[in-house]
Amino acid sequence: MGEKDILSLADASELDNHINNLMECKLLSEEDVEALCKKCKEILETEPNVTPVSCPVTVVGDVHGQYHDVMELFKIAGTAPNTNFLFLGDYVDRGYYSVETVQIVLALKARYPKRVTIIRGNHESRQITQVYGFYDECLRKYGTANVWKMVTDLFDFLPLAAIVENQLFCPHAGLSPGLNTISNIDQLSRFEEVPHEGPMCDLLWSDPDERPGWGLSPRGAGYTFGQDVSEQFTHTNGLKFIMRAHQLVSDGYCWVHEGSVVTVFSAPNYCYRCGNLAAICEIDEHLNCKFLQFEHAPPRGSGTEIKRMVPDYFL
Amino acid sequence: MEAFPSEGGDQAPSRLNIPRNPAVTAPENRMRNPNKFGLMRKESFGVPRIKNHTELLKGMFEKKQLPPGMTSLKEKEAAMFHTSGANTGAFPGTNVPSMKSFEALPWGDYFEVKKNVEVASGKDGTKLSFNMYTTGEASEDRPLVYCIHGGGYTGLTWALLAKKLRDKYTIAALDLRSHGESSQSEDYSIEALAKDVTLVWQECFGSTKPKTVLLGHSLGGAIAIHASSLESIPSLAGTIVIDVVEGTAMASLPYMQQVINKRPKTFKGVEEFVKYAYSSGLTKNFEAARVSASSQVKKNPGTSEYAWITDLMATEPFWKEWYQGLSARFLKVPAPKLLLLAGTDRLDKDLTIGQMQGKFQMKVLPAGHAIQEDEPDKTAEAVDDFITRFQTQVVQ
Repeated sequence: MGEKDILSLADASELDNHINNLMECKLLSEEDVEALCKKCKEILETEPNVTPVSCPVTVVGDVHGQYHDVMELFKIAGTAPNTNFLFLGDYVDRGYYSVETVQIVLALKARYPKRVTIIRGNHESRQITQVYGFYDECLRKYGTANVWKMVTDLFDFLPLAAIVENQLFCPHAGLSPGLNTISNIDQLSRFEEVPHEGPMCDLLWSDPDERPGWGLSPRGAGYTFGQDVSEQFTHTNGLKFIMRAHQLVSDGYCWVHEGSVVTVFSAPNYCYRCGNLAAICEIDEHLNCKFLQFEHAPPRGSGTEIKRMVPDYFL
Repeated sequence: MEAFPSEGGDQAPSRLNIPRNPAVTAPENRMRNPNKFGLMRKESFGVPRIKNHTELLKGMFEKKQLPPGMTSLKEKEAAMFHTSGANTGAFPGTNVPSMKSFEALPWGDYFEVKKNVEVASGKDGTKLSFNMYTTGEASEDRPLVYCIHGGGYTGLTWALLAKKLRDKYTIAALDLRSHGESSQSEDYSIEALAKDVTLVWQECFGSTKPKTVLLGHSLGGAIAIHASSLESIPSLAGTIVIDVVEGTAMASLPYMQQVINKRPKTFKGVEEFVKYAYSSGLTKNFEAARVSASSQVKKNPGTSEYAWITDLMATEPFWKEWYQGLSARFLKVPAPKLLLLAGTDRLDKDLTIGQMQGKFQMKVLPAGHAIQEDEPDKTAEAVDDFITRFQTQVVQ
């Protein structure tokens, strides 16, 4: 590959510094975020919509700003560059440390572009982050929306899916009735806000379902797809199966469609209230999958958590 | 590997048979077709409609011909009120119309018909009378939005929303028992309340069976969830609930008595009630306060005072049962579901799990508790998008 892939020593040591700080839950400065986003943009814009990934790799599902659980995950899985990672999106929102979480993910991507793959989830969007926490958190931690703006601008560059050794298809959420092949997906123009409907939206919103065929997703965006759809897609594209995130599953991972689809969810005790286990998936050189489950990190009394407000009228 | 218990897919919304590669054209297909649901609204049922109410009010003030340099007390009050509000930043500026009057607004600006519906839903099958506001004629091909208000509100809480939706949908909004102009009753069990709603539906719409979307706010949301079964409403097409979640409601209940007791017991008149409703934050929309005020209070016989029509404290023994088990029930509703919330953090555990598994649609509209009053435009858009999405797709 070209010289672009080789970080200058100065860049590398600066990024190492960032990573060390972020591993201690210390935020980057606004200027550093700007530089980091620029670096990531350069890397991501060259990646195809379905970005290829080699084995071995550890796949991580939704983490949703649960920074301390991401640290827990690194303890179990190891960290880059010793472990290769594929993050399936939904880095931000809901958890109280979206800023730290997305920064560590981006810093790892910038430092080890070939060993860390990141794709887009439905929460990597300007609209969703304004409702579900990331925007407010940026305002709270930086005093302005600049960091939110830079990071959400960067989100437009994230690939829509990954493909492991040409055999495992890994979108954040699911399939689209408009996309029969991987090359269909590669032809989409992705550098924009996640649309409300259409193929790009579907990849980030759809869910597998017990019912065959396509259905409207009860979520209000995307579709549900049955086992017949999953099998047709894997068959057409010569895949072993589909690995995706997006849905909460109580054990952290869950096979459906008789082995055609597996869900990986990596936010334990989601939203600090759901009581679920999380899991990550280690894929070895022979594409064998090993799921590692973990519980949520012990709560920290840092005082930055928002108290839940009780509405004053409720009849 | 078992996921969280999945809802039985037996009564799932209609399945689609989408051809293999339609997505490129899908957005165009899904564009709203205004004629599809009968945008051509039937003309009014003989109720005179005031075309432009604000214009009319302006005229009324002008006619008073106050001496130069003087303003009417009402205007002065309104101005002061407005200023103090602006200074504290308490009012969302966009919602504030030119506040010239605290006068009540007539229901006829928002609905076409107001009628009494008698059904045998009282104790031992006795008849109770329900006041209902409607607009548009019910028919098979025009969806009905059947609105159920929250505790202490009335059918007129939906007035502004009805105005936004009435070109496309039939709207029906009843007063619950002991609310507004409906019969008084001492039984506030959730079963009784849900029975009222379904019997009134059967009486008014049971023969035409229009596609029905139940829309409930707060307590009304709980009732909508309980009434959302195909046995009670065979043409149920969707359920929308506004700002009611079991966990959050249960957590708020201990404070409710205090909240209710703090309210003034009487008012000098309807206009004072409007002032109260707006300044206390009961509603953040001045127009909404004006239109529903006269349905919430009435004159005490023999005095000049106005008092609440609904004695909310009398409903206290039933509060817990209104909300217990509500989240699980909501997830089992056999129709598409939309939850409109005033804030993200109102989800309890069951609904957080349900949402994260894709069981329902959720939309957050920053507002006070009565989202339909505070943000009628955005609520209308959410309701319309929800219905349109499922309607147009089901037709295929």
